[in-house]
Amino acid sequence: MHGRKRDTNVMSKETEIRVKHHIQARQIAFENRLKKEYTIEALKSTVDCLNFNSDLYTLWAYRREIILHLIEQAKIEEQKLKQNQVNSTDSKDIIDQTNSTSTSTSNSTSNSTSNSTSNSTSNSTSNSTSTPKSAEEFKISLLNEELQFIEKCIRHHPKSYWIWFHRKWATKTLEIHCNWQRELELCNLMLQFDNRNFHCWNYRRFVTSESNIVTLKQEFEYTTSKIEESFSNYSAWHQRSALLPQIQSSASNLPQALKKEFELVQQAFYTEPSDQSAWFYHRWIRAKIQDRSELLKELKMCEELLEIENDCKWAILTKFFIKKELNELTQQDLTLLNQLEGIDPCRANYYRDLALVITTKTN
Amino acid sequence: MTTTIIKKEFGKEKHIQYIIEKGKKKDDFEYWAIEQQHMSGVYWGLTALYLLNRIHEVEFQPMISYVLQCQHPNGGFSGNVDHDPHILYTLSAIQVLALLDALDRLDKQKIANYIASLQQPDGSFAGDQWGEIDTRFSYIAISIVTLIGKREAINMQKAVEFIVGCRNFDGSFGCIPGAESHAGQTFCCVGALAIAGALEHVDHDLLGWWLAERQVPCGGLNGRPEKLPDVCYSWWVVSSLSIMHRLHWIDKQKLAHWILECQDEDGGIADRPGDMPDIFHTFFGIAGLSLLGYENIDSIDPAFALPVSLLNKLSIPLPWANNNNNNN
Repeated sequence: MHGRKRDTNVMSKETEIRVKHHIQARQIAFENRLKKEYTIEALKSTVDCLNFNSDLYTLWAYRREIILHLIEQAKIEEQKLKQNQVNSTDSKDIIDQTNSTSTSTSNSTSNSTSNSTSNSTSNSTSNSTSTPKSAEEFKISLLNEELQFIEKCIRHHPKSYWIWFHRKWATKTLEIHCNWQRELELCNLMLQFDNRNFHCWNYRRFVTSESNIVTLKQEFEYTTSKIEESFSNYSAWHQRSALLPQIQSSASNLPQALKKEFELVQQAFYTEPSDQSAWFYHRWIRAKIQDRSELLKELKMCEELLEIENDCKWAILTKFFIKKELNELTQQDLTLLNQLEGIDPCRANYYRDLALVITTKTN
Repeated sequence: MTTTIIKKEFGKEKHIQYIIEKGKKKDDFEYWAIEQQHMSGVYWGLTALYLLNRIHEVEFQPMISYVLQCQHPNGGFSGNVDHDPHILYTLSAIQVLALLDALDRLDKQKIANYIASLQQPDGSFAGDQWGEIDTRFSYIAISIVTLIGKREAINMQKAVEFIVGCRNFDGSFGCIPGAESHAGQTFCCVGALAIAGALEHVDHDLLGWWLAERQVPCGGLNGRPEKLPDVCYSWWVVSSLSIMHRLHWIDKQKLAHWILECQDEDGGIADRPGDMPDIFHTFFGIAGLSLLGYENIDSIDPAFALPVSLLNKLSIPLPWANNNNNNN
């Protein structure tokens, strides 16, 4: 719907054929759902549909239902086998079953949670192709395949709410078996393609909180690297604002950390004064620091910047804001607002309303 | 030196024809590419027609039947036949029935129960049984229970708490706690807080400034810093500013002019000049022009995104409405 150049409204022959195929494919997929088909074939029947239209949320839900059903079915099968094992008097049967399902038996011991992940890989050495996977292994491989499919879709449609949520569901369902490092690397990759993709930033926050594979400090450093790549990366500045209070949990550390933030922000201002992101962030730091001497320093910095870039709207406005925060606005400062009205006429009324702060005070 | 701005005409008749024709097309690429949100498409198209005083160009009964066909046993509505119920399309369905004067066809308690079932312990709302959380859904839940007169069905205080938890360093809002500010989410949160009677949680000056800064030199609005302008932000940003009585902080004339530039000469409005029009942008362009006070377009309410005259008929209070338009 966004960013499509105007073309003729007539459907090309190629598109007509694509649409025809899709209508047939989706009919099969939706019929399967009505018939409650929860099989691998049913899963496959949704693939072409989702490649045509990745926002078919009902088919993503159907895929979840199928996967959950197959996982449950594998568990039930495995339980049945175990029961047969217990009931069977044939010792050969017992030995065969033990070779293929040893993870399930180790799962039943109380301190086996770490064992089960390592066992599932070591077990493969004793598995021949004819030996069935354990239910747990089946679940892991099914969900990992799903993640591969989702990744393909995400690369084509990086801004779909439905796809990112489905990935979240898949990784959550994998629980301790999820390869969180891979998830983080996917985020790194997607943010290379588009460093403002908020779906990806949200997913990254989910990965880091769910997994503990990186510390908050490391994530903070990631935002530093992103900002150094591009000072206009508002998403990275935002992430910084979310992390900083969490990292500096003790109130005594926060002022120090905030002073350091002023340094980073100044780098941004002096490199590209018209880049707005750092100026928004600066306003927040000032409000948090509430330190008169720091504010005076920042005021001086603005004035110095204005000597080089005398029509930088952001520096003029920030100068006004700081004087307001210091409670030191005078009639003189109305000239700042007049300047702003001239440079930035779209927001003239905003600057006029700011003037009321001065004029009502002195009245 | 004077510059003459050639005023672009608003192609009212062309847009009406465009909407009606689009509503009839059920076999082309575009229909199938977005089939799952058809219910929202109906809401966008009908509201635009209503604002242009031409809703009677469509037949009400088949439309009402279609909407009811999409209702599910749990009380929710799906985006189209074949599809699962979801909170998104439940709002669209209710809005459509309101426009078609058919709210009496609803089992309101059933819908209230459905919405209540989606509220989480932290006050947020899931979109459906799968559990995706988003402030869009908070807005939808609060809007729905108010429209059908069942506000007591949800925990309003907790709902507000969750929304406030999504407020960011810049005074603006994201989709979940920790998510970046976005004008679309901001409309949802400001609209929700307005309907909930909790606008004191919005820093009007800080957010108003962030929203005013969405206007770029060409006059259009973007959704967050450094992004391209898009006609749909003529709604998300303008409605939020209207609710906060700070619409005058942008250049309204310049925006109106830019929206008109996004019109397609054959009817419909696109996301930006020269692109393909679609129902979504046609509606938001018209809704934006309505909020800007553009002539011949009926007033739309900035919180409910429904015609003011309709909401008055339903006796829904609109305390943020500014009868005196001096400031806006």
